Order: sequence, then structure tokens, then C-alpha cells
Amino acid sequence: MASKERFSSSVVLTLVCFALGIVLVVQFRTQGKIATDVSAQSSTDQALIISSLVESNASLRKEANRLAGELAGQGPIPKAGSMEAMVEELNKLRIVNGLLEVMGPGIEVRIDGSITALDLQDLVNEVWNAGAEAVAVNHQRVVGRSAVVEGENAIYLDGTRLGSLYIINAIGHPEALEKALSRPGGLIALLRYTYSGASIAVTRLERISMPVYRGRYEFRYAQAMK
Amino acid sequence: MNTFRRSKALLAAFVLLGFLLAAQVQSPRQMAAVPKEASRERVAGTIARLEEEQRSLKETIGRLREELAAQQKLGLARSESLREISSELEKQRLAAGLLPLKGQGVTVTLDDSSKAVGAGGDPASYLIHDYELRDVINLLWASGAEAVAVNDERLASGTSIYCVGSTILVNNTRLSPPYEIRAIGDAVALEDRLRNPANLAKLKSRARLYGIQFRVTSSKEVTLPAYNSGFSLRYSSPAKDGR
Repeated sequence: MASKERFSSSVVLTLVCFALGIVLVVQFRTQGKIATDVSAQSSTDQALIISSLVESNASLRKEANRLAGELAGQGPIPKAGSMEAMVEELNKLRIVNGLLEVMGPGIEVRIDGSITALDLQDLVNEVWNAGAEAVAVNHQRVVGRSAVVEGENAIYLDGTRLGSLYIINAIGHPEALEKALSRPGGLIALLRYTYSGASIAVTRLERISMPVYRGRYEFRYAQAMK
Repeated sequence: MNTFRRSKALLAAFVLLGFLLAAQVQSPRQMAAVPKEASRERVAGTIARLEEEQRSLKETIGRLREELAAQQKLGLARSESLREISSELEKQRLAAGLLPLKGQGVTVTLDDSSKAVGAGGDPASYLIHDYELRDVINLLWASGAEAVAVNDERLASGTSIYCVGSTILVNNTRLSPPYEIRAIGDAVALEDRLRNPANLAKLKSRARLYGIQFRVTSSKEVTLPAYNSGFSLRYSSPAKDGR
């Protein structure tokens, strides 16, 4: 009886321990599974991540739109084309004012001998009148305000003494310039008549280059009216 | 004694078994709180998409900022050079005679004689000639005039003064006497040079002999029109590149 009772309680104990073992294994497995799945992201965490991303993206989009708007509304940037036109106009006026070295076809009037300042003045006027675009006398640029003055035994162009060999260069249509100057009864004919001892020649040139005007444009008394 | 100990071990085993069973029953409940496989994947996909969007937005912002900075720099450089060019252009326009001007200066009036041509006299002696205008203008420039005009024609580079018959043309425009030559500059100095007997001697003697009119007046304000013809440059080009 005593041994039968001990036997049955041992069986129960064994069964209980067996069941305990199974339950322990199952429980460990379940716990392990839960641990990996939930890992960093519980559903609450995921919701937080999503909501913060949505919020951040909305503000990023807003900033991108603002920048795009600012870029589109960038004040009127001067167009390169309009500046080119201005630079072209500027260079043209610089040539006109004698402030740029200039080159082109034209003529040369060469006078070897003494003439008066008035005659040189007239010759320069005649060259402009014939359509010259740029004029130089003895490689000195002549502009609108240039003055030819009779000095002591010499002619002065804008204050610079000229020798008795005068080389007048004019850039423009060579043939038109030559014809205008050399026409019968024209200024060259008159000068040849007046200065029979001087040698006066008019030559067409394919390429003439001229230096810049040496004087300055100063406006101390004049004011622009607007 | 023996039985008592055995039933104590049995009791402990049962208690532990009970705990573990209870724990095991609880576990599936926790599992149920975790989203099912499919919905978990959906959520992960959403997160990835949002992160991708975030990355691309940041890239866009970076690009836009760079572009904006470049545009602002270009705009600044352009408007700076534009300002420079316009101010330089204004200077060149002033020098070229393209702006109307005012300032102190002188007015020289030249007119044909009102006297009758004397017997055997040359009518040309009683008229003002183109070269006389040129001579007065040349003297004005040589005396420091800053700008000169004859009647309504401003003198500029390329201006010629010549006559066709008895008509004088300036800038290819016919002028009629009296010829009023106006110059802006130091009024006193200009007047002195004009009145100096050493200058314009021939013109002054003709004025005495034939009644040709030659008058000089200085004033505090002389006004000159702008040069209104063009500058044609078809054959000239800068020998060096601009600037």
C-alpha cells in the first residue's frame, strides 16, 4: 500500500515535470517571437515615425515651394542682350569721341610743305564733310572739339606742334573720300594751286589705324538739361 | 515524513505549472497587439516612401538654394555692370554732344552786311562765309569751350560747316543768317580771346570795312540743343577689343 502510494505520487511528479518542461519550452519560444517582432517598432512607435515624417515632409515641401517662388520672382535681372546693345552703343560713342583706337579703310592726304592753319582747318572740315568716320593728323586723333591754331612758325593741333609734313588720315569709304577731295575745283585742287611748291598726294588705303584722342572731355561749366 | 516531503514537491511543481500556463495564455494576447504580417509590411512601405520623399525634398531644397544664390549673384553682377555701363554711356553721350546743355558762356553773332555793295566792290565781301564760322568755332574750342552750337545745330564729332552757293550748311542742315554761335565755358576767358585783336583779325577788319556784323556777348546762362543727327560708323571698328 505504502509502495503503491509512493509509486503513484512519483508518476504524478514525473507527469507534472514533463508538462512543466513542455510549457517552459513553449513559453520561451513565444517570448522570443514577441521580442523580435515588436523590436524597435511597436505599432505606437510606427505611428509616431509616420506622423513625424508627414509633418517634416510638409514643412520641407513648403520651404521648397517658397524657394521656387523666390527664384521665379527674382527681380528683373538685366538681360545679357540689352547689355550687349548698350556696350555696342558705348563703343560706338567711344569711337566717335576718339576714345577708342580705331581701324578701317580710308585715305591719306600727304602734304609736304608749309600751309596755314586755316587751310589745314579747312582740309579737316572737308574730310569730315566727305563722310570720314574718324580723322587723324600726323597720327594724332582729331575730334569735334579739336582746334588747329597758328603758332610761332608752326601749326598746333590741340596744343601739339606739327612739323611741315602733314599726313591727314580719314577712315571711311576710300573711293568716296578720294573723289570728294580730288574733284576738279575741290579743296585739293585749290591747295595745289595755292602751294605750288608743296607736294600734295591723296592715296586710298585698305587699312588705317588711329590712336586715341589725347585731350580730355571736361565739363566744368556745362550742365546737362533734363 | 516522507509522504509530507513528496507532496510538498508536488505542490511546488503544480504551482509553477499553473504560473507558466497562465503566462502562456497571456502571450498570445500580447501577440495579437502586434499588427499582422501584411499590415506590418504596409506600414513599413509607407515609412520607406515618406523617407524617400523626405530625401528628395531635401535635395530639391538644396538645389533651389544653390540656384537662388547663383541667380542673386548673377543679378547683382549684371546690375552692377549695368550701372557701370549706363554711367559710362551717359559720360560718352555728354562728350558726343547728345545732351542739351546750359551754363555760362558767350554768344557770337555774325551777319551779312546791311550796307549796299560799293561801286566796283565784290558782293562776297559783304557776306559771312563758311570759313569765318569755322574760324570763330575753332577759336572757341582752342579757348576752352566745352560745347558749341550754331543756331539750332550742335557741333559734334564729324560736323562739317560748308557752303553751297551762299547758303551755309551745318550738320547738312541749311542755316540762315544771322548766325548765332553759342559756346559754354569760362565766359570771361572766352570773351577775352574773342575780343583779342590778334584773333579773327580778318573778320574784324571786314566788319569795319564792309559793315559785316560781329558781336560778342557773354552771359551767365547759355543753352545749347543736343546734336540730333546720327553717327554713322560703317568702316570703323575698334582696333582693340572694347574697354
